[in-house]
Amino acid sequence: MIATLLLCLSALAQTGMGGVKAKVVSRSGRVPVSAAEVVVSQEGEYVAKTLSADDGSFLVDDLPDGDYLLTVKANGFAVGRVNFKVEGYVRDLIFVSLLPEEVTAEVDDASFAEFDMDDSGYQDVPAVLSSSSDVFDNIAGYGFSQIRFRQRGYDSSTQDVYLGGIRMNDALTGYSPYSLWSGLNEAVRDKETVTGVAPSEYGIGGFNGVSNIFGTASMVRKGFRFSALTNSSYYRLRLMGSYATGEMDNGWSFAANVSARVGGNDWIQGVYYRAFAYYVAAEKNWFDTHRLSISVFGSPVQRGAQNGSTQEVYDLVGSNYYNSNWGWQDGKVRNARVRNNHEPVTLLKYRWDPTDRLYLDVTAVYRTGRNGYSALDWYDTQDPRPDYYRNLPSYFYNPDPNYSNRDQEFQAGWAKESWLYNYDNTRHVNWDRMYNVNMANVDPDYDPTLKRSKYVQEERRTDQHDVNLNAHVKYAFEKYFTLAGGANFRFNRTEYYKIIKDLLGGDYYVNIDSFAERDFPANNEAVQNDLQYYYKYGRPQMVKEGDKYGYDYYAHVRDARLWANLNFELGGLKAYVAAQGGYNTFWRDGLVQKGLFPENSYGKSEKARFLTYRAKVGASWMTGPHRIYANAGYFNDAPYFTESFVSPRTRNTLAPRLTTEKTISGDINYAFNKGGYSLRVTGYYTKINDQTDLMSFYDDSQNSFTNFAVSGIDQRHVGVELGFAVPLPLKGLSLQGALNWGDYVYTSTPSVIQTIDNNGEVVLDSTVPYWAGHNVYKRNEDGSLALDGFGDPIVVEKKKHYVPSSPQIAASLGLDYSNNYLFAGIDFQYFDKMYLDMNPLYRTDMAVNGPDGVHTPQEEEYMAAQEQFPRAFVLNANIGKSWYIRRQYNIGFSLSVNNILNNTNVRTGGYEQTRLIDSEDFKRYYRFDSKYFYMMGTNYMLTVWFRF
Amino acid sequence: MKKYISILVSAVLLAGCTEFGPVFTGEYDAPAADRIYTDEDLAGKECRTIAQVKALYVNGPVNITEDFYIKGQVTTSDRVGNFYREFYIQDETSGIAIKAGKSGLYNTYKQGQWIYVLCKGLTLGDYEGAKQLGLEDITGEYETAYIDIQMLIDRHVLKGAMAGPDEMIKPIVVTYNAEGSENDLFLSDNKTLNPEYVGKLVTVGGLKYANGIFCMAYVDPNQNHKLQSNRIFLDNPFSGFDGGPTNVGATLKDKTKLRANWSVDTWAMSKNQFAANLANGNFDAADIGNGPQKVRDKDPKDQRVYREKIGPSAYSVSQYFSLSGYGNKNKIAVRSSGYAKFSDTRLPDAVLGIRRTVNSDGTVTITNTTAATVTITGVMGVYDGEAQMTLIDLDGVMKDDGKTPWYNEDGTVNE
Repeated sequence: MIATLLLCLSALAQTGMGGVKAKVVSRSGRVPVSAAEVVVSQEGEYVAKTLSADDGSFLVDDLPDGDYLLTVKANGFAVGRVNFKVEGYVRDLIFVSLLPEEVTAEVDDASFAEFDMDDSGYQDVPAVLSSSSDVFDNIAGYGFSQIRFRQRGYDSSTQDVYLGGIRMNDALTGYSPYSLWSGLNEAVRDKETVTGVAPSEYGIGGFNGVSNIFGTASMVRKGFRFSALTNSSYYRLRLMGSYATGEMDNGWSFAANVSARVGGNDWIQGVYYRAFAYYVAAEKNWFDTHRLSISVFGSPVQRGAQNGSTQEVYDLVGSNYYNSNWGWQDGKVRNARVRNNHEPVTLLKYRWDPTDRLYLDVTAVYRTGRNGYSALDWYDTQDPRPDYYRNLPSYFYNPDPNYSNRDQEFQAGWAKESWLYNYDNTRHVNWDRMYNVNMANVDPDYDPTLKRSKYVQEERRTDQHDVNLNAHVKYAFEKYFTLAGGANFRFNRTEYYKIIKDLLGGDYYVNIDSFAERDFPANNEAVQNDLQYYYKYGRPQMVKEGDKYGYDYYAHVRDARLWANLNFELGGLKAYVAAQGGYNTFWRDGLVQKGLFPENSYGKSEKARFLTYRAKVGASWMTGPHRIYANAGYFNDAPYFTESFVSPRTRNTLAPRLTTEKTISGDINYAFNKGGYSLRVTGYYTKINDQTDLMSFYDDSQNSFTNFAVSGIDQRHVGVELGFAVPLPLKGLSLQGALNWGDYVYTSTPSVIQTIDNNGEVVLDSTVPYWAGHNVYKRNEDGSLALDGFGDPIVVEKKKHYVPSSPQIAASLGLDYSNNYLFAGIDFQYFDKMYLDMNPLYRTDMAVNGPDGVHTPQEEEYMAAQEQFPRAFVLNANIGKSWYIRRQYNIGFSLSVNNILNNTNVRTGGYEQTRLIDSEDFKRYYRFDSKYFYMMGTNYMLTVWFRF
Repeated sequence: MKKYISILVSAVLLAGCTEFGPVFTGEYDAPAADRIYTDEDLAGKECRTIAQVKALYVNGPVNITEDFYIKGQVTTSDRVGNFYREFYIQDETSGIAIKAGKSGLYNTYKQGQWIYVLCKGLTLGDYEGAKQLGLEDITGEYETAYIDIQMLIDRHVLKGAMAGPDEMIKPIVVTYNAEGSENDLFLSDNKTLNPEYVGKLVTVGGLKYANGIFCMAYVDPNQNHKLQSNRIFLDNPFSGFDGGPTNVGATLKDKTKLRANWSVDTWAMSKNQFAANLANGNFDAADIGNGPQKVRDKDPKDQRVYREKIGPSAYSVSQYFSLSGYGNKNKIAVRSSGYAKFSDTRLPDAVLGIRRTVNSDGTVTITNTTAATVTITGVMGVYDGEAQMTLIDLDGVMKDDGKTPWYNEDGTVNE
């Protein structure tokens, strides 16, 4: 009915004629690009095609009035896209500038591997920034990735990543899903990206941009493409091949992409890749009206992980790239922490174009497979981690005599000695010792003929069934207005569990909870991980390799959304309003009955339910080369599953005070593009309220493993982005720069509820008063506290605490050269205002005031302070060249060298430990040292390719 | 193109093989078993007996500079947690503690296994009458410090052969109150513990529950343990220490009578057990430090009742047994750690000398009976001049015959 109505409306369309013309140039220096393929399409439908002339110019005419998309593809350049409107004449776009492809585009998702912060309760997943023709976004997207820059300081989960029009961010964490297609650079190269608050074609998006990867067969670059890549920072070798038919005369398109990535790197021992990837896709177009496509891809990846250590350890070893995760076995490096993922994705898409002004598509995406991460597990034996704090000199001795029990200088000397000279492989995981313990351990309580493992390698699994269904419609009214809208539904059931990956020389492992045993040594039921098994067999399960043990539960998520976006366009003025409403619910479903929580661990939890909504409005005005545009939005989003359960591995308890996150965000922009000059300036403001955070850690003041549920975390991001490109007199040379000047701070005093993990008892229901900042007190010249007339200390500054994990100030200035298929560039980068992740424990009264409960200025300045990393300077360069043989074969190479000054002291992240050290005077606490990650020193990436 | 491929291939080869180990095989052969040392391995080095080494101790810790070793069999295990960061070895002459410093030592040093200790560089010290081998404690707080550094442990403590089933150390059955007899626990003055047994695995029979405990708890376990005002002594403030369960006047919250062992009838107290006892009012009559405040009183500083503000923690408990015939003076303490797995296991009612009757309303009435005797096997030590034994596990608690265990394997009482 509606369709009929829309059909009638479209029949009334006016029929003026016009066209489009422009010159295709490379962005750095306006060098003409000849033989570029220029395709004009409307509403996704092919309209016309041509090639650019030797001077780069092209003309497409005989176009009816309307909105069109111009797509320009040329070898060696990233795809360029421009929207234009025909209003009865030939529109001159003057230049369509293309971005060289190879020198920038070979950033791998490997550079976005998350830090291994398992011990900390933190997560640090970097954002993957997208390339685009925008100068700032391009530099920030690739140039800043080595320092883990996050655009505008936002968390990676705020960046929406779509595949074929469906939002693919992880249903449980919100993280970017890039690992799903890692190693498939050719298949996913074509994408559309918007940044900031701006809405996308495919959904209204959030406040941190939307990237939509097409992923269908017809969108993969036509022809054969082979490349080999070697680099020194992630893996040694990558081989990749792809082939695509493009759309053939019979309407079919086929595409395939495969790759292998193997080896280690120059900097971090134990990190390695054994990764493969495949992609196959087919698509059929019937009369340009119906289009059906299917794509199947996956990346089976095994990857050794890196671990952070304290500076003490790095100094003892003499390298900031020490990795504590590996040790020698059988003469080979063996990493205890290995990711082992294979999550195939199937994309099915149907699109119907009944008229010129209406299209409708329905899409389904299914994600399944395995997601494993191994770790060591042990029962009633020594901690096997080489850099465990009791193995370090600092555990034995601290020069400050007020540190409790840190006075054994003799042992400290021996500990130091064994680290410095790596006696008996002190620095590494001792696999021999673990095997020997297991091989010599027979426990007659279980079986006098078998060896009971005390150490095992476990694999934590997060196996998803993720189904996404999406319908999307777009209708262009006769004049001025375009309406897009859609509905989507997500079903996710993820099983969290762990299995025994390796018994390390033993025959079985016993499925009991060693933490529970510490508190309930005589309670046979409380220590059971699987109470029903215990009741049935009278003893805990003796698990073998491949058996599930520990915990096992489903996370269920259902999410439904409806959205609409109304666009208005008149001459140079564009405006839109967009809105989305949704419903989100999730729950836990325990598959084993936990001894500690027999009433609250098995079966379904209470369902968390949230109504969500988003609204956006924006306008842009363009005149000549100038464009001014602004966006604003309000977002009311459900929290994610992983931040909503107090201790999902043990019980069904939802975090207290669970509520939606509320965000208000806006940006205002000015852009200028003319004659190779390019400029964008953006001011942005974002306020995020009511975030929650959950951590689990051993609390020394409670002598227990505890859960820390923090709610009401507010933060404010404000800043300016600037990007520019200026052509220089030498042909092909330009000066490019980017700057982000941000100020991202915490603004609230969050609430915290701390519970004992073993019994759920609430031991702290309070606030985190030093979360958003702490006082700095006035000092006399001799360093003592200055006091006012009443004898009270004088506050001189309220020091703010900052949002960590990204430099808040990032700048880049460089030269870029591109001429005659030779690309080269050099750039100098500066980063500042980088902060360490804070743990909320150190910002509580309990930790600041110490065991005597008395607050002193010295304690506040010590315990509540946030560490700021030193500023960093980085120099990078790249060069690339390609050759055409008989205008058909293309070979080329690109080489980039990063951190040429070999600055190995740049901290890119880390976390605070949650432990406290007692003092001899029992008046205060000391912190454990923080753990850090460092940017790699000089590293290179060399690619050679061959295409035809 | 070929040039590039050859560059690539050579780059890959240059990168070395270690990074490709996990890439191409992912398989690792199990490591060889640890080296087992024999006497031949140590040929040429002087071997001394444990008694000879202990004799080096005269007055204060001894840093051993001579190059010799001792050889003994492991007698203890920290598996149930009653020993912690140390283990005992014993030869025909004597027994001594090795303060290795790590947890889970039983995973490496098995009961009965032969151990060689290279003594040069270690320090011989005394703790409450027991001799220990550790490192020098430069702080002077103790006579020895834990060795603690894995490299040092591995270089001083060498693993020898496992003992066969018949070669395990047999505890020495001691007697007492039989003057001049062999294996007398006490010297001829009938008071002084025979130092020969200290550090050895010993069996003492004929013990009767003395209805008394010693335990030092703290108001705030995270505060200064040396502060009198932070201490709670659960010792023997009442008369009748000797005479079985006694009405000492105090009553619990549920109106049952407090007994002289503070109603602590478990071997020790885990954190939860301590909290339960505290909440029951069992400790209400205990002094805070030297008094006059008691656990049931308010802290004058913040007006909070101590019982409600005391932070629970796990505590060691000494349960006293009397050596029949030695009168009030000679008792033997069986000390257990609050972190031991059996800490919350109750002493058998028959040993306590009580009978529990469940009333129709669900309450329990405790009546006195004659206490059964026990035979205890453990490592003999000294505390305050008195004999103190440490159980390796509950198998060390046996009936009068010295063979039948008081506890079944699952921790229940073997009635």
